[in-house]
Amino acid sequence: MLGLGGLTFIYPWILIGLILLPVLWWLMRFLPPRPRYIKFPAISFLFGLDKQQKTPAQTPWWLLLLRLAIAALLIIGLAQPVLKERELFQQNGPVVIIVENDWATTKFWNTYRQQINDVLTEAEQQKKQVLLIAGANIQETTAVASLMTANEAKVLFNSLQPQSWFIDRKLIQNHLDQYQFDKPADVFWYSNGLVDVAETSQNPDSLLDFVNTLYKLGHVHSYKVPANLLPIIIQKVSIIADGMEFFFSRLSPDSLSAITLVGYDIQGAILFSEDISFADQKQVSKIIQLPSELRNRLNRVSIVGQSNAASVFLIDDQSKIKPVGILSGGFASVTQPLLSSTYYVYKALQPYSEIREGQDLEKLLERKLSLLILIDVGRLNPGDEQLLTNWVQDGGTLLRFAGPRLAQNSDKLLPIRIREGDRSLGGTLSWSSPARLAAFPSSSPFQGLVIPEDVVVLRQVLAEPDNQLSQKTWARLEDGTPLITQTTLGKGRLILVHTTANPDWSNFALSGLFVQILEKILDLSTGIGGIAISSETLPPKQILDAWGNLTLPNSQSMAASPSVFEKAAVSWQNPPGFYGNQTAQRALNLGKAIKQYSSLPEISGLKTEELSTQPLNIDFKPHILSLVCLLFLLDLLITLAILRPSNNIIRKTALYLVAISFAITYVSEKVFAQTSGNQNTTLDRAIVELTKTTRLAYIKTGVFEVDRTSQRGLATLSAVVNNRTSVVLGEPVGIDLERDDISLYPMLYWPVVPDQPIPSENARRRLNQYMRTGGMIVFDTRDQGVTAIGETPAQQRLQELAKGLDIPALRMIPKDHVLGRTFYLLQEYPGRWRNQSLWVERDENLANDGVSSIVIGGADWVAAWAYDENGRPMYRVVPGGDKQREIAFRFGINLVLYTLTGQYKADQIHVPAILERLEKEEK
Amino acid sequence: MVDALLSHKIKEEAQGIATNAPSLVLAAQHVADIVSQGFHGRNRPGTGEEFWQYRQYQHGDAVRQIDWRRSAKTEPVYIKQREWEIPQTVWLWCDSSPSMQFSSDKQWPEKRLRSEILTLALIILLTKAGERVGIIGSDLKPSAARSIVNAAAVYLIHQRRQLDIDQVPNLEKLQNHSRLVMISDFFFPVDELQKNMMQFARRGGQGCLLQVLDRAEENLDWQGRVLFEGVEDQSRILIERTETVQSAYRQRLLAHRQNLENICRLYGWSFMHAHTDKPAILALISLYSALDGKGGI
Repeated sequence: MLGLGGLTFIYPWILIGLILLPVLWWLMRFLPPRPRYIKFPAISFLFGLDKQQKTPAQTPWWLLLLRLAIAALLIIGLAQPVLKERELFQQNGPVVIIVENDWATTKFWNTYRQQINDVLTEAEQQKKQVLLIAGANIQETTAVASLMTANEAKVLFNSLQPQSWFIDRKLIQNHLDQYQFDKPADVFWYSNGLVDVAETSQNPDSLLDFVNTLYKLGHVHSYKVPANLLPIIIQKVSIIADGMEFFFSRLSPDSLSAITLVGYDIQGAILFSEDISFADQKQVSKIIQLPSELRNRLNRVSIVGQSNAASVFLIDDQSKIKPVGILSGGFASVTQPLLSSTYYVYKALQPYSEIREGQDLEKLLERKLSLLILIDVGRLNPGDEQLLTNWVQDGGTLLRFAGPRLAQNSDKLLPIRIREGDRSLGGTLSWSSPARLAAFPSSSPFQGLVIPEDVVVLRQVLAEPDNQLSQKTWARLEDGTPLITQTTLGKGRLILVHTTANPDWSNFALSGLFVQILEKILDLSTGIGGIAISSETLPPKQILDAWGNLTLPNSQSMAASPSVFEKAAVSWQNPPGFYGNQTAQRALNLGKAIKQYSSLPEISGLKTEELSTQPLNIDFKPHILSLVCLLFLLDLLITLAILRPSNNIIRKTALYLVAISFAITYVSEKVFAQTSGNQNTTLDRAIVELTKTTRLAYIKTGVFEVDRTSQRGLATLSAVVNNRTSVVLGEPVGIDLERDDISLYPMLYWPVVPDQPIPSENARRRLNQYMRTGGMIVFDTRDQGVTAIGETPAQQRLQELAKGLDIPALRMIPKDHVLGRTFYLLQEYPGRWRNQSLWVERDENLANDGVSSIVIGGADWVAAWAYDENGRPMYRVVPGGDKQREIAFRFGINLVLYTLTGQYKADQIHVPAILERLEKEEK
Repeated sequence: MVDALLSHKIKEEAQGIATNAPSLVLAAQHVADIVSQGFHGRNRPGTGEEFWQYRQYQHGDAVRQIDWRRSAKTEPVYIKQREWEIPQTVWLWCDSSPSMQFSSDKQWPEKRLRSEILTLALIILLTKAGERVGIIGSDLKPSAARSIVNAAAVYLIHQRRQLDIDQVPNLEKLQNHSRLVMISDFFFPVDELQKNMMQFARRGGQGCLLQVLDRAEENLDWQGRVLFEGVEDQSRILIERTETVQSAYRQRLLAHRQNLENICRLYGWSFMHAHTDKPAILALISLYSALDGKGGI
C-alpha cells in the first residue's frame, strides 16, 4: 500500500512503469511514423529535393501527449488507485462481524450485505483475520470457529441468507464468550434493530450485557437500522361469523401507517385486497367480510411490500374449513346416487366444508366436527345418544333430517317432541294439496332468503303442540306446521328439518334454498365440540423463507409436534410454514410467535453509526481503464483522420472497427447478462419447431442408401397425403434412437438392415414407452423380394431388435382389418414387393384406441413411395406397374390415417353384419 | 501450345475491348455532343464528297460541274456544289504509358481515361466537321468516316495493354502540312520530342499539345513522411516532410511546362494543360477551338 493523502494504490509496484514513460516519449519522438506509400508518376521532379531537411516527420506534439497520457493512465489504472473515504478499523486485532440475519433484516439486508462486503474487502486489503458470526445460524451446539482470512469470510458471507426465525442474543452472547483475542478486535454489530420486550422486562440488563460482551472483544461498531424499515407483521388471524379478523402490529411508530393486505389462494391467485391504516396506533385489527367459499380457498395473506416471514400469515385447514359429519340411517346407493339420502346434503355442503361420512358415530366424533348431520336416523342406541348429547352440550351443532325411520322411532335428541307417524299432503288419500313454505319468522336466521314458488312439501313429521313451539320454529309451511325447528342444548344446538334430505318427501332438497339454509346453519355452527385434536407430529411440507416466500423444506427443518403449533414455537428446526401429511395440515406462523417487540433502544455508551450505502473506498481502476479505452479509440480516430491511408478499404474498415468497438464496450455487459439464459431454450425451441406440424419419422439405420430411401419415401408419402386428404404433414424426420425424442411423432418407420446396432437399454425403454402411450412403429424387413431358405438376415435382425421391446402378440392381418379401410378400401398392402404378409397386433389395443402399436412387413414400402427430387420414382416396383405403386401409396395413406384417427372406421366394418342380422330378425 | 496461349490472350483482350470500347465511345460522344452544339460544319463550297448546294451556272464554271438532272427540270442551268474539304489530315496521339494510369483520388478519373475520352470526343467532332482523322501508332487509315470513332476506341483500349510503346511518338510518317494533336502528361525528357516536332514542323506540320495532369501532381498534395515510387521504373524516394518540398516541386513542374510552351511557341503551335478534376468539356472546347479557330492552325 502506498498512500498519497487519501489516495492509495493497491498494487503500487506497477507504478514503476511510469519510469518507462520518458523512454516511450523518446521512442515516439525519434522513431518516425511509418511513411505513406504512394505511386507517383511525376517522381522525376522529386529527386534531389529532399537534401536540405534531414529530421524526419514528427508525430504532432499533442498526439504525442495524448499517447503518453494513455500510457501513464494505463499504468496508474493498473496500480488500482483507491480513495479512502474514512478509516474503518480502530484496532489492530482481528475483525469480528456479527450479523443478526433473521427475518426482520430482509428490508435492509442488501445494505448490510454491501456494507459487510466493504468491510471484508477492507480487511482483505489490510490482511486482517476475520470472525464472521451469523446470528440466526448460531445454536447451542455451534462450535467455536477459528479466525479465517477475509477472502474466506467473504465466500462464507455471500452464502448467507436471512432466516425465517429469531436470533437469540443470549445464545450469541454465550457463543462470543468463548472467544479471546491477543489484540483488541474491531467488532461490527449488524443488529436486526429489534429487542424482545418480554425479555427486557424480565431482565432489564440483558441488552447491556450483550453489548458489554461485545466491548470485551474490542472496539464496537454498531449500525443503526432506519426505524421506518422495521417490519410490520400479521400477528393473528381469527375466524368470526362471516369473515376473518386480522391483527396487525408494527414494530416502530415510524413504519408505514398505511398498508395493503392481500389474500391468496393455494395457486397464488389474489382473493381479496384491503387497505389498512394504523393511524398512529401500534397495533390494529381489521375485520374482513369473506364469503365462506373464499374463506375456504384462502391459503395465505400477506402485507404488500413488507416481504418478511412475519408479514405473511398462512391459513391452515383448522382455521377455515368446518368439518361436517354425515351419518345416514339409509343406505348410500352407489348405482343411483340421486336417490341416496346423503347426496343432496353432500353436494350442498361440499364447497364450504370438509365432509366426513360414516356409519359409526363414535369414529365420527373422534375428530373435530362443527356440524353433525343425521339423516333419517331413528332411535339412537343409548351409548351413542349419551355421546352425542355430551358433544352437543360441549358446543356441537346437530342437524337432523326426518324420514320414515325417524317418523317411526324418535329419541330425545330433537328440538321438539314429534308425533309418531308422518303426515302426507296431496296424496291420493288426502284432500289437502302439497304445502308451500311460509315466510320465515322474524326470529329465524333464514329471514331474508328468497323462497322459491315451486318448493312444496308432500310429507313431513309433525311436532307435538308445545307452548314453546313457535319460538323454536325457524321455518314453517303455509298451514303453520313447522318445517325447521331448533333448540339449544348446553353450548350447542339441535336442529330438525321435518322432511327428508332427498326428494322422497319434498322437492325442498332440489331447491337453491336448501343450499342457502344449510350454509346458514353451517355458519351458525361455530362451536367445535371436538374431542381431541390431531396428536400427530407433522413433517414440514412448505416452509417460509425470511422474505415470506413458500419454499420446499431444507434438510434442517424437522417434523413439528402439536405443542410446537400450540406455542407457535418457531425455531431453526421448525421454521414457519405448512406442516402436514395427506390427512392433516397445520400452519406454523411466525407472526403468532412474536409477542412483543420494539425497536432497539439507544444504549448508553454505544455510538451507533448510520447505515449508509456510500462505499468505503472509491476505486478508480474501472474509471481510469475505461478512460484509457476511450482515449485509445480517440487516438485511433485521429490517426485515421490525419494519416489518411491511401487505401480506402483499409480506412473504411478501420473506421467500422472503431465504431464497432465503441458499440461493443457499450453493450457488452448486456450481452453477457443475456447469453446465459439462451441455451436452455434452444432445445425447447427445436421441439416447438418440430411439433408445429405433424411429421412422419423414420429410424436412421446408418446405411446411406436406406436412409435416403426412407427420407424420400416418407417425404413423397407426406406430399401425397397432404394432396389427397385433409391431413397436413410436415417434412419427415430422421431419428437417431439414442439421442432424439421419439415421443413427438405419431408413427416411426423402421427399415431393418442386417447390421443395424441394437438400441441401448435407454432407447428400448423409450420405445416401449412410445408404443404404450400411443405411438406406432412400422417395421419393414425389406426382404420380400429376397428368396431365402428359412429366415432372411433382416428377419433375424428384427428378432434381435425386438428382444428388448414389449412386442405384443401378433397375427397376420385379417381380411377386414381396419388398416384396409381407413381411407381407401384395400385388399392387399404391396410396397416395392407384392407378396404380402403383414403382421399386426392380435388383440386390439384398448389403451391405444384399438390401433396396433406395431406393424411388421417386408414389402419395402418406402422404396415404392420414394420419388427423387426431380419427381421420378427411385425404384422399380416388382412385379411392377403404376397400379402397384398407386396401391402402395394408398396403403401409405391408410397407414397414416390409421395412426392419426385410430379405430373409428372399424365400426363401419360391422355394418353389413348388423344389417344382415336385422334382416334375419325381421323374418 | 503457344498458339493456344496466344489465342487465349487475344480472346481475353477482345473481351476487354468489347466491354470497354462502347462505354468509352459513349462517354466521348456525350462530351462531344455538348461541345458540338456550339460548332457547325464548314459551310463552304469545296471539293469534298458531300453535297452542299445547287447554284446557277455562271460563266467560268467547269462544264463537269453541271448537274444535268437538276438542270433538265427547269430553265436555268445548275451546277452542283460540293462542300469544301481540305486534303490534310488531323493526326492524334494519346499517351497510354503507365504514368498516365494515375489518379490521386477515387473521385477523379485516371489521366489516361480522361485523355482517351478527349481523343475520341475530338475524333467525333472532327469527323462531324468532315475532317480526316488519323491515329498515330495505329494501322488505321486516316478517314473522315464516323466509323473511325469505333475503330479508334478499339485501338485505344488495345493500346492500354501494350507496355512497350515508344514514349515519344514518331512523327516521320505524317504527311507534310498535316495537323497534329498530342495528349499526354509529358513527363518525359523533352529533347526527343522537340527533335521530332522540329522535323515535322519543317515539313509544314502544325500542332497542338495538351498536358493532362492530376491535381496532386500539380501541387504535391501530401504531408508528412511519404515514400514515393515511380510508375515506369522502380525508383523510390522517401521524403520526410513532404510539405517542405512542395514549392520546390512546383517550381520544377512549372519550369518543365514552360519549357514545353517555349518549344511550341517556337513552331507556332499551341500548348494548353488540363486537370482531371475539371470537366472534360473545358479541355475539349479549348482544344477544339484551338484547332478550329485558327482555321487549320
